[in-house]
Amino acid sequence: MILQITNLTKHYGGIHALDKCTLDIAPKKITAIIGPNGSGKTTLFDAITKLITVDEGRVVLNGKDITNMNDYDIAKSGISRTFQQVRLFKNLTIKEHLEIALRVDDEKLFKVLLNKVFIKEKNNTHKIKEILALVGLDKPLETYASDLSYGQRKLLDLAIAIAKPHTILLLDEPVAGVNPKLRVEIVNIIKKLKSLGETIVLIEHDMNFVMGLADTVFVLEAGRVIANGKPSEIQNNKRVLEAYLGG
Amino acid sequence: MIEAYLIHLLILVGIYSVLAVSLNLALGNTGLMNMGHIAFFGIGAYTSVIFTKDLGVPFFAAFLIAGLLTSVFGFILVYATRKLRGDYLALATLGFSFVIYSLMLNWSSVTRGPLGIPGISKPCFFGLCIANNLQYLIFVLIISAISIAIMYIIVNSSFGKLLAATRDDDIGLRALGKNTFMLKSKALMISAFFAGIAGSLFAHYITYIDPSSFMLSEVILIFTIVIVGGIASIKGSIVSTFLIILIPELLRFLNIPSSVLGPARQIIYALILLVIVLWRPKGLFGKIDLE
Repeated sequence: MILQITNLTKHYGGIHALDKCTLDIAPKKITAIIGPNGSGKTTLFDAITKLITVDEGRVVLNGKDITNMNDYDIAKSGISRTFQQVRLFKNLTIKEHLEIALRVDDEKLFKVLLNKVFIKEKNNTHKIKEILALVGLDKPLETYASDLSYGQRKLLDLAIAIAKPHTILLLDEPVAGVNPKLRVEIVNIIKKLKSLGETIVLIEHDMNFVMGLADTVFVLEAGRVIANGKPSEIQNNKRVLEAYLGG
Repeated sequence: MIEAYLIHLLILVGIYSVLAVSLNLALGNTGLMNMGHIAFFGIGAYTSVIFTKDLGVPFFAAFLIAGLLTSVFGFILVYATRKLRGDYLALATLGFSFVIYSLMLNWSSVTRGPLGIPGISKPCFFGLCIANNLQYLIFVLIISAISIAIMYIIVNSSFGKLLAATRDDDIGLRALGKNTFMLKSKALMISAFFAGIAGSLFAHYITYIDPSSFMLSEVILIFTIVIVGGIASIKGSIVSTFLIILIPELLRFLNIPSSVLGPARQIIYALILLVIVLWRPKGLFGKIDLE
């Protein structure tokens, strides 16, 4: 397993956002995490990427315990993620976003300055165009993020997650709020990513959306995994239907 | 006579350009609402003077020590305020400037307190001593040009883009594997370094410093320069320094009593700031809204 999550628990006062949540993610597959609103899906992503600190539990990536690492070290160790509300840099261009995602040593000021003054900085334009073609974002590279539509921002968010060196992609509601045409396009992008050997974990609350897409589905309710298996198994699971329909 | 007066103004423009561009690097390019920048200016001025006058250190060494020590204070400030954002950060950094001001005022054995330090020598280096203000102007222009060029290269490098990304979305950048605390630390240390050397240039030009040169009113002056020029715009900060330093000088030709002149300047700065914030929030050359 590429990512092992064991007994992740997070309480907010008396509310169990995550309650001994345990799941394993298989490599080169699409794993969907579904559940009704408030079931702890985004909290799980935030816990894996250390945007929140859990009360107990472990997260292991490629055999390495990342539970107590900083959020940026977890990202460096190979987890790329998108956000339900996209987090872009509104005063930077599309190209600048992707350059930030692609570069790994741009925090080293002296190295950057030496490269800037004495050596030409590495040109990533070809790679950037490849990634933009993959996600279908057809806008000039110098377009500012603040000038993009909601759907285009979703695509740019996905593009920078792909560009950042990673071993696993976490996609938080990748089609939330987009029009039906773009929804189909994003499904195709996710399928294409899988065919390229990517490991993808996606969150979605719409059960029907993941049925034709995911290899494995985990269902969360009140922060706990209540069912998992192939989409066809999940679709007819009585407990899952109760959780969704409130029966 | 008018020549000497113009040289004096241009020296101030040179020094304040470095101060404004260095504030813009932290405030505009990195999004750190640092109201304590004037304290960095003061630390640089006092350090340079104490090292040259009391410890006999050659000017150039003291000049660099002033920048480096101020940079250390920059790190202390960013570390102490690492969990604060926006208004809270502004208040905490304003508090820092009051603490430094109080130190200058009360640590009399080192700073001579409110009496200030008179008789500061003009710089001497490599066997040459600056003999008049024209030579000092040339010296200031060289140092300012080098300082601003370095800051220009930094903000236009891939490191500079990371600073801009930190300003726009700290969490988003951390999700891309970047340590935003280290980025902010480096930005504030660079900003403080250049404010420190501007302080050194100021002290060795004026030849007398006391804590009143580094008070809250001076914070308003440099914030006015940065906001009028435009957030994250180096060109804007330079043009604005000319305007903000030179416009109030016109009051001198209006035969106003000297007791009114000081407050009148503060009123002009406040009015300019108000007009810009209301009608042109991006400043003269800025691309980023003041938020």
